[in-house]
Amino acid sequence: MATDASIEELSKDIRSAIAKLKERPEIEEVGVVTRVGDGVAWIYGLTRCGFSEMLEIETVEGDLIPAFAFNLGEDEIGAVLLGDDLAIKAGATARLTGKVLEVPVGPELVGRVVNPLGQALDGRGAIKAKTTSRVERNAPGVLDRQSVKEPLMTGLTAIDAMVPIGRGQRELIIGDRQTGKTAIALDTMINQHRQGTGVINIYVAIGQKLSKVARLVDRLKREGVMDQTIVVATSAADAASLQYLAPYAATAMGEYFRDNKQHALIIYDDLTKHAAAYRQMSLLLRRPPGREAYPGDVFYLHSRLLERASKMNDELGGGSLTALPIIETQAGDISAYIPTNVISITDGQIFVETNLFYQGIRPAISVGLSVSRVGSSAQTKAVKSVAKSLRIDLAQFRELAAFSQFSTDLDPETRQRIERGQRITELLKQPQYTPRATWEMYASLLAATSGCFDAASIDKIKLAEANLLRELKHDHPKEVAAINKGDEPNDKVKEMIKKMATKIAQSYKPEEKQTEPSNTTGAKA
Amino acid sequence: MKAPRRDLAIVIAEATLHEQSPTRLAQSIAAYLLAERRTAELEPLLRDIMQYRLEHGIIEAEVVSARELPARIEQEIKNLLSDSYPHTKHVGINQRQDEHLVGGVVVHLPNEQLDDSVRGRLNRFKQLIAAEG
Repeated sequence: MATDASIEELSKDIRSAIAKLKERPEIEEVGVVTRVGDGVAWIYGLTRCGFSEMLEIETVEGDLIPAFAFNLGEDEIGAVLLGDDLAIKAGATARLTGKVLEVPVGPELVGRVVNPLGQALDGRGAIKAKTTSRVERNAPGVLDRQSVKEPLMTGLTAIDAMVPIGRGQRELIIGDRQTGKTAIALDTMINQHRQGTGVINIYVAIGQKLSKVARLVDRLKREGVMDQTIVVATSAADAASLQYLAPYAATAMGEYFRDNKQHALIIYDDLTKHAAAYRQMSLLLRRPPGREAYPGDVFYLHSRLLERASKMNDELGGGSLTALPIIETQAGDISAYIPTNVISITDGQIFVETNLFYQGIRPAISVGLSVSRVGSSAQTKAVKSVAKSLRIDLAQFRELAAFSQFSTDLDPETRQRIERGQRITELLKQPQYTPRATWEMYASLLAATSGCFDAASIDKIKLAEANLLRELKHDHPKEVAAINKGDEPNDKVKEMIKKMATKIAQSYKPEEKQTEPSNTTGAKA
Repeated sequence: MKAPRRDLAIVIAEATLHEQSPTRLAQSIAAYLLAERRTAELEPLLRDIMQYRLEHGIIEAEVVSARELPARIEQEIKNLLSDSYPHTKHVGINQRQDEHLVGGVVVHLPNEQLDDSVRGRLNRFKQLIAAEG
């Protein structure tokens, strides 16, 4: 091929070869479904199939059911179906796609309710996302991260003061059924909207009742939070495979914001059901059962998921993905298999107790068992300054309250400690859907911990607090705005709040007959 | 210990390449599968054998068509398979009719398939439309 003419000939040959190849029918690698049922298909052939590779199985009607390879055996492949297994018959053709599962990601998903495959469930048309991302991705490495340093305010005083959460942290919410776990998560989402933090919320419903998801979405819409929220929903009626995929798919959606210099909050509701879905899949695929019939890699199931929540370093934009996994315990047993696994993976836990819940202490947070391992470095200075002694005060109060049950004759100091503990407990009660701003938490806690509210009756302390907050907001908007930025106010402002609180407390004094120390029921906080 | 199916297939496939009496070989395999209670594995076992033979130059394809194929088309399919698999020594074709295909052919190999039927094309069209949403 030394001359120009030969290049021209070569070009012609290539073009004609391309045309011929295009005309030529393509022989493709296929497998045959040998058995199918319970959301699992066993496939003969497809020897080049990779782990977790997506497959397409043709139904009798010619439709395609997606599946992913989960068991690569010597003789056959165990694939988990992502669609209706009744549509597939033995003998059906299975094809490799050469891809691993991807979901649409990006701002187009915000405000939508989707399934784990990124398909719309809200009847508002298909999602036209420009980008997709792998459902299973490696967590960022050590050098890609930085320490948690910015607060993620939940708006719940008890949490923000005693178990603060930072952006990029993994904080577990754990407790029995019907104790307000989802309520904490929901309030946190609402607070992101009320405080204008710009944090994108991602709520993942795993095997939930669809009525509960519908109620939640409705509430989010009413609160205006849906505009910064993605809901990834799977119901108890969905295949275990979809329930298994839901948190990974949602995390991929959250990672988009994390990797684009934004902040996202992801709530996994709940990982107990996720573990159960994975157990079901594993048993159907005949993987050996271990403790409580969970497969051997159930720890890795959650550790690889939660490691994806992180605070990225400044070179990578400084975005973050904060995870609030939820675990449901049975009769408060936090030493069960899945709870202990997730406790050891996360950076702390918020333990909600049934007893407290029914005593009317809501959120029913157990101060003794709740902890945040990294959040204190991200706590705002304002809240930190008033919350320092809060845990100790409450712990001492609990001890004294328990002891005082055996004695009615208390010295004034003990009585004062118990009464202050009761006042703090009352102030930490917070109705649902009323997350608080930083200044509200600060003023309330300053008044309570410095003893300014000691004069107020316990049953009227919430009124005194409301009065204080109203007056502060009305009379001192500048100071309120300054505290809301998170900085600790100067002594002058502190004194002003204390004076105001003391004065207000005088108007809520207990009546004469109520001066005896009240019963210590509900003392545990 | 249960012999892996793939090992079994290799032994049988080797035997088919050298054994003079296919009937005796079939009887031996049947007896073995019955004794080992592995008759359910016959179908995948036969596919494994076909695959091994294909890798050794002997192709056995099942050609499904709506109507009986003329000899010319059959020869074209043989040529296509010979081109697709270098080192092919022999191509055998078993024909079967299936009216549901409407037209065209489907060539089945142990692990592969060539679907050039009207029904296959319609299905692909349907899948494309479904994917577009």
